[in-house]
Amino acid sequence: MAERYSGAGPHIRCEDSTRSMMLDVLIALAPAFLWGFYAFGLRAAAILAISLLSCVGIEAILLFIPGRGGSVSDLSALVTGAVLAAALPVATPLYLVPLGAFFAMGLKALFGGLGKNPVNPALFSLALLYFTFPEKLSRFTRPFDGLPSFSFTAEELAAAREPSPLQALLKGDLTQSITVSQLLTGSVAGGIASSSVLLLLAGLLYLLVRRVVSLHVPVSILIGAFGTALLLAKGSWSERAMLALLTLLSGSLIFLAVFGATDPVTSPITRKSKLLYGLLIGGLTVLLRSRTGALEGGVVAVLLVSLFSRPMDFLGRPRVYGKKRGLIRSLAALPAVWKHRFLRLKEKLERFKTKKQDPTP
Amino acid sequence: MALSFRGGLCLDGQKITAREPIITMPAPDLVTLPLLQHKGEPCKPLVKEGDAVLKGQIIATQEDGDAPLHASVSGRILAIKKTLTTLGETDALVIENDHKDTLSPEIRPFHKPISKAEPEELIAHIREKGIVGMGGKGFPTWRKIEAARGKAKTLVINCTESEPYLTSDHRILLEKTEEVVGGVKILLRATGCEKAVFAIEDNKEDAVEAVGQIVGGSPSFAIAVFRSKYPQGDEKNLIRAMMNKEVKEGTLPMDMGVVTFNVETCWDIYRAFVTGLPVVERLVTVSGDCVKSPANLMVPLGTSFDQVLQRCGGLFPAPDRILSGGPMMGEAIADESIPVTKCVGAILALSAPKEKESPCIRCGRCVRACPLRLMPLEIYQAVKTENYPKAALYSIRSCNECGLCTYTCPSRLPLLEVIRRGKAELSAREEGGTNG
Repeated sequence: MAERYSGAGPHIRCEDSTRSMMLDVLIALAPAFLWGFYAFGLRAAAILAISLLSCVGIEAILLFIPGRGGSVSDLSALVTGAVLAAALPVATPLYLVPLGAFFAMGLKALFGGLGKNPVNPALFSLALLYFTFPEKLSRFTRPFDGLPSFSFTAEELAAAREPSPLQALLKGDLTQSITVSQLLTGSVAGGIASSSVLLLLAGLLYLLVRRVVSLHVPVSILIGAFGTALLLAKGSWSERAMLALLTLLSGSLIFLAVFGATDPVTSPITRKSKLLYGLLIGGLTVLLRSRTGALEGGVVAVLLVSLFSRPMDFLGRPRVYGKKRGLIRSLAALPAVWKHRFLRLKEKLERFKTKKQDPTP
Repeated sequence: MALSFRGGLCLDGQKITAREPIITMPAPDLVTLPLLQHKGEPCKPLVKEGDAVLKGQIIATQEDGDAPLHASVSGRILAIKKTLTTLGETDALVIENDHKDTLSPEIRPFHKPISKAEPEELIAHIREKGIVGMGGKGFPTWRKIEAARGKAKTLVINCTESEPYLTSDHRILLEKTEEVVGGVKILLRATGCEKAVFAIEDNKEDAVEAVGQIVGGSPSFAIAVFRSKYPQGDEKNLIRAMMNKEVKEGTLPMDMGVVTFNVETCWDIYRAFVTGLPVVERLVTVSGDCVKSPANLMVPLGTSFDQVLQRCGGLFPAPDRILSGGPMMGEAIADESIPVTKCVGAILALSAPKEKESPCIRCGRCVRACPLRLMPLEIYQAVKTENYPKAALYSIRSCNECGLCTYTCPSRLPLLEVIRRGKAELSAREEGGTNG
């Protein structure tokens, strides 16, 4: 008789896998990228290609470190590469792209691979790039400007001096007369695939249908950002509302709300904590933008807030069927949990030490 | 709008046998009746090797008379020997079938009309006929009735059958509607309930109609239609969906005035009163992607899994596992020679599920699916790191083991398997703690 499995169930599994979810994210990003290729030319495609290849390549190498979870076939490296490329302006010097890929995949590997990183690798890498090369990453070009496809140095791109709508907005320069419809279609200066609001929303729709993301995070980010912008702006309420609307549509906020902040690994799980997470990100984004004039306000906001995803999940965890919420009792149980974690860490360290002293297995 | 609860998942029903009428399988030459038919104390045999037995004769009984065991065929006791069952190894009576099906003289209809009988008499009769919960747990029905007396006002007939593949309850409802309703009437009198509610999922509209034609208009009956979603069949979800209330921790549905019974149990009760026949056979859904001709088979107790599968055309392609019960909560058996007992509601032959583990990406699908609103990923992680305080904090003990977390995990992590291990470890530790 053939060898058969025996034991408890369940004996069936759903069709979806990590791989299929990652593939869905790539599909959802595709329309925005196609617009980016069309608007910014071949150079946009080159940046995407370099980003994808270097992310996958670096991940493949880093996976040789023992104990790193995941594999190249789960496509997570491609998602990181695509998100990174989508946010970069087309005038980015090409050599910065593999560097960004290295930052991203390095962070992921440092924490133990897929599912272990505390912040999103692509956004982390973007922030690091912004801070190390602020000059080179704030050069935006208008669509259809026709940049050389494969120039590696910044000099050739000197022509690229167009401020992005957000930069103009932050300077209070509304004379630029960016219209809402331009922002919606993405006929503005911005990242390769991060400014065509309508196509990004189409991607969101696809992700919603495929149940890869829920509406909680994107909607609460927009509410948080809109509310904060409304409060911070000056002038009559209609002027404020207009300004708040422009805030939502500019500076890749929609991109971050759909593809940055919804990263499952670093965002909270439960409904309540997702809403809190989104509101905080939205509010913080606008605050950072207005106080520091930092373009990367959104990215930094997501990074900062996602550091608190786990505590938010604990506080926002659902009430178990038939039980009382018991918040005080659960808080009282926390020290025992932490103690256990601490002891385990100590144990691990000791094992590590003895291994060092005595290399024989 | 169909009633429903939060959490759970709409699974692919795979109700291949929904249109297959009930077929009675002839008893094999040898039947093996384990003395342990369901969880609890094993029965003590009342017969010895070589004794002649008649169909329906009590051949073994539990010390407290909980649920006696009856011969499923007439013939001769060939041996009393150790046998493997779905509950592990236990003693079993092996009967050589004389194929005459001579009924025992004990088998005669209940001695007076139901409406004239005292509840105590009804309960004693149900007890004598070896009737247990046929939904899978096998709890003695008379005990449940006694516990419900005076407490329960509403009797719920659980016909939801939310596990994929299973269709036996559906077929009984369709083909034996009047007999089931007859059984429910007996239960109403025995429990003292005022009302009986048929709980049916909306993927069984024909059953809703069939039941409606018989009980429609009667004030003591109602039909509640539920959305087809797993695990709707779980009492807790049934009550949540029906009454919009939760069964509080540490209490029973009875404390809320509700008692639930399985469809087949009701049918068995009817037959026990009208024909006097005890539980000597049960309806089994034989299905799965590896069974040639799936069917709803009336199987004499003691028939082996192997014989049942052969009766359904054999196995093709070769299955990875053979289950007793549904694909979510059933168990893959180690050996096909094990006999069908009162607890085997389905025999499924399935191919291997896709199982390539990858790390948890905290997508939260297990949390959304859990009908008890647990956070399986956190419990999984806690047990993996042996952090039992954390596992307890995340209410590991509340888990009903419905299996949805493992089913829905895109990383294909064995969440439930690890949670089960954690539960066992936790209770072992607590026992150790109280003992010394």
